[in-house]
Parts: sequence; structure tokens; C-alpha cells
Amino acid sequence: MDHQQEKVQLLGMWASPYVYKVKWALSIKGVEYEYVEEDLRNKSSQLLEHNTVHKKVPVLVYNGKPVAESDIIVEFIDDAWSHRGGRILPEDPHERAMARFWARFVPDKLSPPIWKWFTTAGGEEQDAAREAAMEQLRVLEEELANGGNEFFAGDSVGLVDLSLGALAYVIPMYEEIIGERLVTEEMFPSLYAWMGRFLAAPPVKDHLPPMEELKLSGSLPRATPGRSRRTAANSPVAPSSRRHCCRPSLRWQRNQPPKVVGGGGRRDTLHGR
Amino acid sequence: MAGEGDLKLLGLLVSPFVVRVRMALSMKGVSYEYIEVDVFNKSEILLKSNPVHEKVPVLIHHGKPICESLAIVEYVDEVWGGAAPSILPADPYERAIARFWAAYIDDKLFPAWIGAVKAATEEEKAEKVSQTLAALARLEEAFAKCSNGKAFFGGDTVGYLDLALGCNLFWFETLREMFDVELIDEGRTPLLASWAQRFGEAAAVKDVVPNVDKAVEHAKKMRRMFVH
Repeated sequence: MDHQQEKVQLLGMWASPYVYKVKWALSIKGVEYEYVEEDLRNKSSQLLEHNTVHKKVPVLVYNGKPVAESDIIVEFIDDAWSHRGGRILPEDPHERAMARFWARFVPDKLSPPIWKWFTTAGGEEQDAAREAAMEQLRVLEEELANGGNEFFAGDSVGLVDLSLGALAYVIPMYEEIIGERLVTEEMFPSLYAWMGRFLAAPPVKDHLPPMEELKLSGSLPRATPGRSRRTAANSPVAPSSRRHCCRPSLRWQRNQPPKVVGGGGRRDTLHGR
Repeated sequence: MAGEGDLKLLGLLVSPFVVRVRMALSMKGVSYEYIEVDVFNKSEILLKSNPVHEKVPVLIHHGKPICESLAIVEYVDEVWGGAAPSILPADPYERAIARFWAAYIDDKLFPAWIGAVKAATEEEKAEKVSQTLAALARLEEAFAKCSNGKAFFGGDTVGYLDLALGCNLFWFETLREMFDVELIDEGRTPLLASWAQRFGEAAAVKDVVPNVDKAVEHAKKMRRMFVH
């Protein structure tokens, strides 16, 4: 591809983990681009034109030509800038196939039970959700441990790391909000260590969402009072926004909850996959 | 071309995802051992090869399993890269577009038509058929853009996106037979209708498409199991 006169734009939204996945990929390749923040309650004509099928972010626009769906955008970035930066997908065909397989594991098998755990209001149902999430985490833990590398496919951030990546900041945030641990060093030593390494990795560390804003953005579950094991007094979240979690406030409407681990399906109404 | 003697495919004869992989292998002229799996009574070899999803197809090459039909197709294209024709387009942007529509087919089109097969009520079936038609309308537009006036999504020859959609065609015929519903119709989707004709005749792919009556039999079995 001719990179001489290229123009790259990323249409995104500040809280979307799928947008961050693309930012991290662009960072791995050292690509310069223009970032355009979309108001998803008032989608721009540019977004609607470029993603007529799903009308979601992220969309990468390469010389006026749009690419949608975060996993597809990441592979495009790896293909289009194959001549520079680290490899996002491995070279070996079998390893590539495995990377694609594990990248799908995250939205298909891992994210739904994690979301269920986060949004279930206590009791037996929540315990069951937690166990279901841990079962999938164990699968990943084994994969990571068997590989014996810093990251899933080697020494640098690759496709599977990018796919899992947002959970590195989302899980600790959820743990803090509901006052219950999911990924501890004792239970998941490899995953725990990977999370720290991922967040500190060069393509990632300067491209993370503002955590406090994210916590206050309405990502709280539609909670019942018995939900959190903490009292209101020592909750990390300001009482006023907790009060608003059950009815829409102006702030909640402006900052859409990051449906990070998406409900029943891989897509929700706001974020692309 | 030999599959180097150590290539197995675990499959189900009537699964469109398995047919997709078989089409890709056929295009490359690769030989392999095909192992039919009873998906209603999953075998040891399947559970060992795909412990995460327990699904077919699984390609096992030199003892290493590869799962997910689209990933397998890309693998086949890469490993037998020298064997013409190329399945994925060469241009990165065109590859991205092909992958986008293939994902759309699996995420939107497939659940709709399989939903129609499994529907418990007439109402539900009608809803699913309607969703299928809506998805096909999108794919009609996609064909116009991707083919650039040529015979296939991939251009002059069958490519990745042709396989992604083409492997579903025998099931559309099955639905016509079971429910008297025409999914790809000359009136609604003329481009897809003529594409489907050409695809059906393409030498590289037609030998691996099962008879519609086998699909009907399977559909009835599924309905007995899932519809109450």
C-alpha cells in the first residue's frame, strides 16, 4: 500500500473499550491519525455514512474508505502497516489461527459471564455468575501459563492481548465498585501478572480511558441496596451518582455506561465489536 | 495436491460451516481424511480437539487442531498459499471488507435462518424469515460494491466472501422445500440470484455440497430435539 499521502481517521467514543483496542493497535504501528469523538446519542452524518450497517464506533477511515468492527480494524491495521511496528498477528499460520480463535473467546465466552457477575444483585445467582466467570478465566489462565510468554503470543502485545485488554482495567474497576474480587494473584497468577504488564506496555499505557470518569459514568449495575458489600460511606463512588444509577440523570445520559462486557450478545446498541 | 498425509477434518455433513471449509480445501486441491461426527453424541476426538466450543468443523493438521470455520479458511489459504487461486483478496482494504461481510453472514444471517428452522410457532418463523430477508438485502448491496460488475464477490473467481455465503445456499433450498419460502429471489435480490446460480455451478465447490434431503432430515431431527 502507498503510505505517502495517507489520511487516517478514527471515529470513536471515550468510554468504548473497542475504540481503545483500535487505538492500541494504531499505537503498536506508530500510525498518525485524527481522532473524532462521536456523540452516540446524536450520531454524526459521517459515522452514519461510514458504518451504514451497524452505525457504531469504532470506525477507521483510511483515505476516505471506512473499516468497521474492531477485530477487523485491528487485522486491517496489521495488514496495511505490515512493514513497520510490531506484528499484531503471529507469522506462523497455525499460530495465527489460534490467535483468531482466542480473540473470539473473549467476547463469546468470557465477557458475558463477567457482565452477569457484575450486574447480578447478590445471593446465589451472583455466586453462580461468579463461578461461571471464573471457569472461563481458568481456561485463559491455563492458555497463558502454558505459553510461558510475557503476552499471549510472545514478548509483545498482540491480537489476543488486544482482545482481552480492556478487561485489564475493567475487572479491577468492577471489583472496586461491588467490593468483591474476581481475579486474585492466588487464583490466577499468570492472568494477574499479565494484567499489570498489559497496562504498563508502551502501546497501551498512554491510551487508557479516564478511570474516575468511567466509574462515575453510570457503569453501576441497577443495584439493590444489599448488592454491594460496602456501605455507602466507604464506597468509592460518590453517593449522588449512586442515587442516579436507577433513574437517568443528565450526567448519566451524557456519559453512556461502557457496556464493556456487553450483555447477552456481543453487541449492544452503542458500541461496535 | 496432497494434504501431506496428516490432514483430518472433523465435521457434520450438513453443517454450512463444515461445507465452507470443504469448499476451501477443494479449491486448493488438498486431500484430507474426513471424519463425520455425531453432534448429538459428541465423540472423544471432538471434545479433545475443541474443548472450548465442542463444535465442528475442526481441522487437524500435523496433530494440531484449528477451530472456527473462517479462521480455518484463512489458515488453508495461508498454508497452501502457492496453490491457485488465492481465497482472500490481496489488498488489505478489500480483505477487511470481505472479513466484515463474512462476520455479518455468521452473526446476522445465520442466526436468522437457523432460527426459522427451529421456530416453534408460525409467528416466530415468519419473524426469522423476515430477518433473513433483511440480511440478504444488505448482502445484495454488498455484492454490488464488492464484485465491481464481476461474477463473484471475489471478482472473476470464487473467493472468501463467496464461500462465506455460498455454503449456506443448500440450506436455503432446504427451507424452500420445508416451508415453501424463497429466500434468494430474482425479484428482491437479482444480483444474488444470478450469483447463486454461478456459484452452484462452480467446479471447485459443487462436489462438497450435500443433498438437500440430508439437510431436511437433519432439520427434522433438530426440531424434534429443540422444539417442544
